[in-house]
Amino acid sequence: MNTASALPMLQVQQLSTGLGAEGPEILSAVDITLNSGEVLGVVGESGSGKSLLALSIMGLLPPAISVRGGQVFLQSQNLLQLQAPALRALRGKAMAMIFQEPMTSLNPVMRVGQQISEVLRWHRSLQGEAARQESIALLQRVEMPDPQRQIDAYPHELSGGMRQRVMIAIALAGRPRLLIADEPTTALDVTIQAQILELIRKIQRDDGMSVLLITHDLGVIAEMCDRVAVMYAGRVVEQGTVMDIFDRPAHPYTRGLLASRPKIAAGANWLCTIEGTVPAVGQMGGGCSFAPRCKLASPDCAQRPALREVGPSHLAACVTPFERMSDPRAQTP
Amino acid sequence: MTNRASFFRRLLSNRSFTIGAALVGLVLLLALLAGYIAPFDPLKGNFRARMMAPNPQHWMGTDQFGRDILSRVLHGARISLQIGFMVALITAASGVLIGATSGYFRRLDGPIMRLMDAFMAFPSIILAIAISSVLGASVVNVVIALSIAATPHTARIVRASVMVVREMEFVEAARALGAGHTRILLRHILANAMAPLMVRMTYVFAVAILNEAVLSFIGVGPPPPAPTFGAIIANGRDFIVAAPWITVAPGLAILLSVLGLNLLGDGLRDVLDPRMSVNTR
Repeated sequence: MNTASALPMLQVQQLSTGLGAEGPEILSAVDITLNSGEVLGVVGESGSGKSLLALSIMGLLPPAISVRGGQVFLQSQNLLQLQAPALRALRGKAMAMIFQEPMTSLNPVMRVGQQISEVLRWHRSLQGEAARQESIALLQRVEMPDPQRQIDAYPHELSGGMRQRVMIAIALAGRPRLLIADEPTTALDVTIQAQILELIRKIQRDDGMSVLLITHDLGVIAEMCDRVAVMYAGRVVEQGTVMDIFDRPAHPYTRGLLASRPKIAAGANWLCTIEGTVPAVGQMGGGCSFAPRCKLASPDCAQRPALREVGPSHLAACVTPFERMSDPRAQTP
Repeated sequence: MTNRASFFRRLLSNRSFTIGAALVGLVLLLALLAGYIAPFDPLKGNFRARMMAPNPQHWMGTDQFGRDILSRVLHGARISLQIGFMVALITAASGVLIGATSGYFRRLDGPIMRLMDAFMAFPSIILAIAISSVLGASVVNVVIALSIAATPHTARIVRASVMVVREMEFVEAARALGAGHTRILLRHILANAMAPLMVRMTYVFAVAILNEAVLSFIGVGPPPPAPTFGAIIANGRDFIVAAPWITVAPGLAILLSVLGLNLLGDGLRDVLDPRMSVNTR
């Protein structure tokens, strides 16, 4: 699909971030790889550092949080070494981001068309009528009903789903190679969710764009992604293809996540859960951060397990990958 | 479009806004037309008509030089409103510049705001008196003095609303699309932080009229014989028992202007920020 090179679109290597210079670590040696033209899902529960990972890639970390180490490569460019103006030129052009809340991600005092044209002006030097026509084309692309009229709408006149379409149109305006979507459907109705995901998938296929999709919804992952990275407490605990993750989960946490999906089948009136909660930032010990909640924990888990290959391009950070636990569903009354 | 139309509809159905706007409009109209409707020359005395009580010829009486008070008040409104308007405009500009810089660039916030605190430590009228006595008495200097005195509070208000908007998600979204600081500050933050400033401007306008009167009264305002509300009152204070009309007329003019502006500001605030509104109807 991609003719440029065999380099991955995005490569995050050993990225660590922390609160200030001395404070606790939040992301801890995160490794992810997103190949060209691929959709990589990042899944994990709240507080696992998914969104922070996205912000670190974009260079938009809040001032209180700083990068401690590691590298972020966008193809051959090391983003962490770029000066602010160079990074700003990449944002919106080489990489764009869609946020979770379509209700608040648009400027309430600017018309939809102005907000799209703004990006066209910065990144593609389109002005006036050319920018307007291109904005209408973009709205058409995101399947906005009646784009000729909606281009002059203010955000408050649009529904949540339509606003998210506008957000996608804005993100596409600079023709990015990498799209980061941070829980793009969490705030939407289920029916709209499906439409928006379908739209992202379609655009991704048409353009051969690379997408980093952040979500806590395994259903979204199964539907959308080629490969998946599972995050837990600021670390990547498993990375592999969708098949690997769903059929051959190696890490106990991944298995726990899969088991805790609600099922309608065969009289399952009991929700499986993973006991305990994610350790608070700064409360993580030196070992495996999942060990306190893991039924398979052994003294070996006091050493932090590295991400290692457990199958072809399937990585897991566990000392006992694939070990079967007794099926939690069997224990439910 | 519908948005804008409904905004004006809500403004017009707000009683305090409409009364305020009517008062301000009336004063403004009289000031603009002063040259045509004033029955006499505001500067020219008439020795045969000194200290006359209100009568059919001189509706508001005359002063010790026989100058027509009504004509002086009408022309005075011109200067006083000009001063108020200029002060509101300059204060808004400097307040936005200082407040936005301070609210947006965290590193500059401390130093700038401590400096503003230092200004705010003085009561603004004392500050204005000090500045204007250093600069000398003239209309321009009064405007400068009153603007400097009103800027710190205005900057603080702008800073506060900039800090609120700065943290909103669409600002981060704009940043994620490659917007630079200037762009974000102007189009995305300031455009969404204007409401408190607009209300503040009506208040600064009103206070400037009042403070100009104070400055003139103690003799550091625009030099005589220029008629301003304050100058006319200052001139009449020696005769307040014998000829109270000299002070009452400009006093009423100040009352009407300031009341009108305050009502206007209240109405504007109620419509711009419905959560703050006190239901008076």
